[in-house]
Amino acid sequence: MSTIEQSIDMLERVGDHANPILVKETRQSLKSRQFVVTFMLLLAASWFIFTLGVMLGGDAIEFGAIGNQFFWFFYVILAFAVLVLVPFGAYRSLLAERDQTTYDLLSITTLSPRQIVWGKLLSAIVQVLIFYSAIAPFIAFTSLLQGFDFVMVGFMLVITLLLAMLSSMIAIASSAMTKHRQFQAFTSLVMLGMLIIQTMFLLSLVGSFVTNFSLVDRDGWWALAFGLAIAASYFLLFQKVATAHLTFESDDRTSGIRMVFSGQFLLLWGGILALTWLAPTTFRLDEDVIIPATILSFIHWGAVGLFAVTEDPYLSRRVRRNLPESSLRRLLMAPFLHGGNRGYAYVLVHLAILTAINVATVPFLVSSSDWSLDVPLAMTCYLVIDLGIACALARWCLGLSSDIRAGHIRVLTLILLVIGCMLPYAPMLWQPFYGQSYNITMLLNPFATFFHLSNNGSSATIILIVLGIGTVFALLVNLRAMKQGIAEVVFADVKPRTPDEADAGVPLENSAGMEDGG
Amino acid sequence: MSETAMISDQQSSPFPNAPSSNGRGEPTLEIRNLHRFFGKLKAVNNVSFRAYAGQVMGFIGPNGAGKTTTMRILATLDTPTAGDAFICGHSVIDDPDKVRRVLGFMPDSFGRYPNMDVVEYLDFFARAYGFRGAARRDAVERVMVFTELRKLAEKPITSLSKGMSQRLCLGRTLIHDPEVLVLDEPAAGLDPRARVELRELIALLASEMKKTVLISSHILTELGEICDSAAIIEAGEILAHGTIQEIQAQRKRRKALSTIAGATDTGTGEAESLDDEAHTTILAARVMSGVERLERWLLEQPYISEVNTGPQQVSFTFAGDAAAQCDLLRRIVEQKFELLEFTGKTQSLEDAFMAITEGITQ
Repeated sequence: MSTIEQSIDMLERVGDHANPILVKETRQSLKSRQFVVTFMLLLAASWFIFTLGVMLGGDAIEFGAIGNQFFWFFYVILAFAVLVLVPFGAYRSLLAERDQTTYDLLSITTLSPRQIVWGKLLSAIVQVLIFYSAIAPFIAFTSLLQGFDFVMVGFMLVITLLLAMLSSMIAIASSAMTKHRQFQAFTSLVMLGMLIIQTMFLLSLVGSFVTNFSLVDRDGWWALAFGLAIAASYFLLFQKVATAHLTFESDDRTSGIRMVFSGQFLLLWGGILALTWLAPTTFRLDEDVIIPATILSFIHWGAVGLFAVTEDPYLSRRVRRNLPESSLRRLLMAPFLHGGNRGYAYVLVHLAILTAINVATVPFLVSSSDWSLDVPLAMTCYLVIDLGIACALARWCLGLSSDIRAGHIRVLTLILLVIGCMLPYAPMLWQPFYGQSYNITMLLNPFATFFHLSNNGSSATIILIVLGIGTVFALLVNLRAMKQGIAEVVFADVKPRTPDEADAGVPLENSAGMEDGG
Repeated sequence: MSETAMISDQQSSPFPNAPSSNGRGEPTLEIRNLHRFFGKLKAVNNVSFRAYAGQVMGFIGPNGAGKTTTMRILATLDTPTAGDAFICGHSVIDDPDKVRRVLGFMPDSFGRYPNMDVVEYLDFFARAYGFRGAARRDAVERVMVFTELRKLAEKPITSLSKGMSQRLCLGRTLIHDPEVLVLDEPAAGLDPRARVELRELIALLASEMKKTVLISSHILTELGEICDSAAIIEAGEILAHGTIQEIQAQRKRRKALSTIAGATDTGTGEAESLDDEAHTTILAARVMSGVERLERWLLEQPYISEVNTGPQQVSFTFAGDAAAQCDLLRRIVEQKFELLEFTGKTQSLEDAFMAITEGITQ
């Protein structure tokens, strides 16, 4: 066998194990007019800049340190292609599968949703690399100029590749969530707009970082590692979201997402503690770190909780069937599984961890500020109460009618929160707004309460007692449902369903399909 | 109470109309009390039937009857509100991954990828079903030979004719050699030649390869030629199920049960007619002349009702058994009617469909 034949054979064998979607989309892309036009435009724009630069550069080409300036021009063109066009192509790619009704054909193959998502992403990465190869000769030219920093250019290209991957994954997740055809034109425009804005922001961020970053700056490397870890966690989150939206209804679509949310939370606090220890010159365990991290954590759990506690309570037979044998493992898994009641337990566990972190760190803060435990405690109480209300509402309302969906409960909860925030100010409509002191009715407004407590306002103990009573009440209202939700997992005994075992006359009360049922 | 509901109440088995397996073994396709509701719309309401290896079953119903919804559930593209379906013993709810390995689904609309030719299209789906190396090439080749697409291998799929597209879609459905095929309106929009060719392919799949084929179509005459059984659905409910003859028998039985119900309500004691109704046959006699004399004579004979005449022909409903039918023929000859032909009139699938459905839409 000749070398060429051996190479082809080897490529065939490699291709055999490549993601089928990657193979398909690469073949399609290379034949598509859109890709050829984009590629040619990129080359033309780069050639134009090169020619213009050489013409205008004059002596500076030979004697000036303009290598980096030249590179920046090429970089902007490249960034537009890989941070806007490629992610938008990935977004349109999955939408087109639905438009052309090819998605149904794809989803009934043995390809897993994860393979579909990764196939789309890898196709986007291949396009990014092709664009990189197009711009490579021009970058090679700039490398001949003075002032060209190889390390920095390499660093920027790697960071841009990673950002393109993240943007593409976000685009794929958004595409997986866009199921209604009538909104596609609108969402496509929104996506394009967001990608352009995001690219401008990222360009300025990369520019700023590159300007201030020094290779010998140890703390800078730690900050970079922390930033990349956060970006990786969001990459993973959007991958899980996209996969969940493409997963069959009766399968487990929740636990992966919940685990990533937990991971992000632990990453934030683990990262802070690690940086405090590893980069003491940049990070100190003071209020500048703890307060934003605490607020960020509460926002995180508020948003995550709103989605988690309003899910329908049904756990499919398939999920129950695949539970581990060990009761302890089931107990540990339970909060991560689908269902609003389990979702409430899941948020409570993390709020307890957050409170414990605050209790452990706040007394030792290296600061002279007024930040005390009152604020995080109040924040925890508010979240427990508000999410408890949402959980109870979901439980009651979702059972009333199949027309009521989780989204409606989320909107209703937010409306109640807004009403709660505004209600204390209703009597003040006829009075001067400014100068009003905090009173007990303002407990309905969490933001006013936080402001009051963070300024060492009066009656902090009374406020916390009232909020504590509300918290206990919210817990009691949901306690039984939470217990049932956990017990359903811990004591589940579901064997494989066969035709003979199928209880033909009784509806599948726990099937995922019931949520659409009448 | 609806007629169907009344029947369900009176029969204990969940499969009252199911054809017996007749030594065909376990059913490869089984639907049990399937429900699919969209809000208040009952798209599929308590549907049950089963099919066996080598069987071609027609799934018939007017637009909006619930055919596509049922087929999408079978293909694991949708989940039922209640009930379950099994493909080769695997639940579509619990084991969709296993179902996908043994089921081929051909939807009513054929999605085409741009910038892709026939062989690339089949190659992609072979890869998607996990075929590697030589196995993949063999699978693609096998399908192209079977569907006679070899000569179009390099042609872009967007430029294929409707008939060729349907062949390609059937090829995609067969790429992983599934045991059960669910074909939703495969002949829609095809010209007569393409229809005949597709019909032959489907017949071959069932007879030679022992595939179970569930096929929906509006062209009932065509279905009648390839199906050995059918399930008739209307407004989300199965009205009849079985072979064409069994469907006829069910229709008569249903009619009889309605009569019983009416008799029970009014106390007229017509229940005894149940067995007679269940055994009725339509017979036709063609004579050279004397149609009116034959009509009058027939009306005087036992077991005969609903006598209709046409040019040189008399048709009638006969409630007797085979021996009585034989005796009747002997007496017609004895009476010296100038008989040309004496035959049992077979009812087509179309006749059965029209007789059973009421044109209800949701």
